[in-house]
Amino acid sequence: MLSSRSRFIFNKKIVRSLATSAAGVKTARVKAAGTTPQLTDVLIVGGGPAGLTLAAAIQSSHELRKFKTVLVEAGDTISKVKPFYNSPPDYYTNRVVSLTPPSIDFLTKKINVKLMENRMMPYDGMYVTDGISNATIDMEKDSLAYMIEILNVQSSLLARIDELNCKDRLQIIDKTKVESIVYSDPNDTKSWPIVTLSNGQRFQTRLLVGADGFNSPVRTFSGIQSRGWFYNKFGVVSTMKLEYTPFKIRGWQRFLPTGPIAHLPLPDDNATLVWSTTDELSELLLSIKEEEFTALINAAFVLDNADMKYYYKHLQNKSMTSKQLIDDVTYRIDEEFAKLPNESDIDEKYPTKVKMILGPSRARFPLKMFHADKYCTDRIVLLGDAAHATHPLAGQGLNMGQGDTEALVDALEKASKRGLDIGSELALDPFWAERYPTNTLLLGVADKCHKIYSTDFPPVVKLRSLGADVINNFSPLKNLITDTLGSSAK
Amino acid sequence: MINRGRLIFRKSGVNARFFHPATDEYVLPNKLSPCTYTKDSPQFKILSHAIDNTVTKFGFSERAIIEAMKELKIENQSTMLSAIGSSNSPSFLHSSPSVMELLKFNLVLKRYRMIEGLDPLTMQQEELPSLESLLLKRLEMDIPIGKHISAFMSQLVIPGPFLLDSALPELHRLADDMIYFSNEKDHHDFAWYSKRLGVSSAYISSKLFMAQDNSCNYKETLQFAKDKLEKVMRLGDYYNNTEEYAWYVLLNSVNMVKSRMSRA
Repeated sequence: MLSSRSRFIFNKKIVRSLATSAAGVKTARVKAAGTTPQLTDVLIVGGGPAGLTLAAAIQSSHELRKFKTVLVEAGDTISKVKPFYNSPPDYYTNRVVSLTPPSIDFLTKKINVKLMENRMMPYDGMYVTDGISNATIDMEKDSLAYMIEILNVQSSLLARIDELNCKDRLQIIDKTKVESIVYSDPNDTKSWPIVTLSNGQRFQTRLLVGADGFNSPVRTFSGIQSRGWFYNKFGVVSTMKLEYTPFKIRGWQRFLPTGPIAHLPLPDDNATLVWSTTDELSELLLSIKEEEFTALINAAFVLDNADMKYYYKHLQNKSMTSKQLIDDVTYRIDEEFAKLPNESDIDEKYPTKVKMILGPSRARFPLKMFHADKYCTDRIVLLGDAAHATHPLAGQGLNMGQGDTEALVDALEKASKRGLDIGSELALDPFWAERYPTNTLLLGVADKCHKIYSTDFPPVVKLRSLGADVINNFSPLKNLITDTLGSSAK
Repeated sequence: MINRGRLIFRKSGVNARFFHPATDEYVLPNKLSPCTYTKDSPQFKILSHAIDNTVTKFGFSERAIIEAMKELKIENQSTMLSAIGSSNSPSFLHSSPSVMELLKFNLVLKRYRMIEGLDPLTMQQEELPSLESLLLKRLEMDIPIGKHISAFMSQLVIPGPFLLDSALPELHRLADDMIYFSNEKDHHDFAWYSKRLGVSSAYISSKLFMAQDNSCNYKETLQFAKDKLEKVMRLGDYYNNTEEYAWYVLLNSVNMVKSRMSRA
């Protein structure tokens, strides 16, 4: 029997020889504590949009499909997400994102994903108003972006993976968590990491991809720091039924001092809501009755901040019945509408009124801004929310993840063509070099918008309204902003 | 282990001393530091009686102390007056040393009363009161002597050794105790100083407000103190957020340069 020391050296030699071989995995067996780890080229942790996109992109690429890939997901991807593609529910789910045309192109043209087009909605611009001064920026662009359910993206990607018929090269393991990650040689961070799963399987991987969200265990393992802050605010989401199908298909956003509220279109008379607000108010919004919440949404887009404060106060003290609230909101909204010179201006200036919300679709999530110092190091890549988290006000979160994935696939293809080890920092660096500046810009824009609009301090309100007026009336600048928002995944 | 060993020695009648001192070998101090007399001393009895009974009527003066002595039936009052003031040096610009002692005693006694029954070492964080409630509790203690606060504050701020040796350190101890004995988060960096400074300024400004306040039961003072503390804390938040942001921007810029210089 080998002594533990000599076995350790033996392991190290095998791992080194594997690490230096650029392509193709030998069926060498590395003995470590417990079972022998299986060898793989890419191990993706996380089956969210970023992880699934990367898995599908690797298998769709002629250059990369030779790499054996494993995707590990804690949720119920196969049995819960997959059936969505062929038998979607007749309502819209509450996790809806905005995909920009470059993201759509990457998915549909490069990976050949067939998204469920009847469940996504292109919209022609954003109508952004200031909740205090009513200064407006009206950005118009045909198909600025698409509103799409995350489940639509995920299930379409799974359908594409099925179509590729690559079971021998891509293994999807769901309902399984990562239990531990260690380097096969603890003293060498260039050695292949060994990942132990909760089902007992162990993988030794050439490249470990962390697409495992904000609290990424892979990022923790990599030692890459993530910097930023929590806004101490929450986003309340809900799916809404409108009174009629809107004439103007655009996104509506109003910056209230408590945070922005956004009303974004879905097919027919459906729409989705993202209402960012304080901790206390978000709890109130989740606790009030559905019809009260509906009235408040309608009020938020039309009425003054003082009116909203009045409603919050009475709802908190329970000193107003639902009927009183609804009647009061309707009366005041009608009063505002009556001030407009033309009745047709109502549809021009305000979103279509909400008829009701889908009860169980109301939920809240904490808002934050975080950015990892680096997206890759030897053997490890961070993707999507593991690398950056942003405020949803600019609708860029998922697009940044898609842009990252596209840049990573390009970098891996180039590395593979040049005969480089795809897990080496040399191969991965171009990916982060390309994405870091873009993501910094987008994170910065969302963060600054949030900061500028979260006050009702008069000089700031005046300045930002002046800025908004200048942007709105000076088309080159407005077009630049519209184009940046609509092409962020490039 | 050591205690058991000591017990065996004690039972066997052998006197053994271990090198390390044990806390159970000492009695708890029976005085309110920095005052030098114990709780059962005549000085303590006279001064606490004066604070609770006679100061309300006569203000912070020798007369209040003499009246307290009369009520406690203490004879030889002039000697006792000297004994009370013995820890303060006489000054031409200030009141008599015994009145200085009465001023100091008022601060010390009420600080100890404010934290009575609180122990952060044994109590859970949520059992401790909030910083705001401690500040209000301390201000409420001065309501009975409300009309003398103006005179009291002006005596405390007279420039001289009393201000530096007693009044300012006592203010610092008060702010320190308010933070230590409340559920307020404490810091180990420069914020340790700034938070104490902020609490002190909220307390002093509320006290100055109190001196002018004519509202029923000093309601306006208590409201003023709440607002002031909130403002001070918000200022602290602004500072922390700015520092966090500046640090982020700095490191972000470094990373940006790194990414630009990397093999794109």
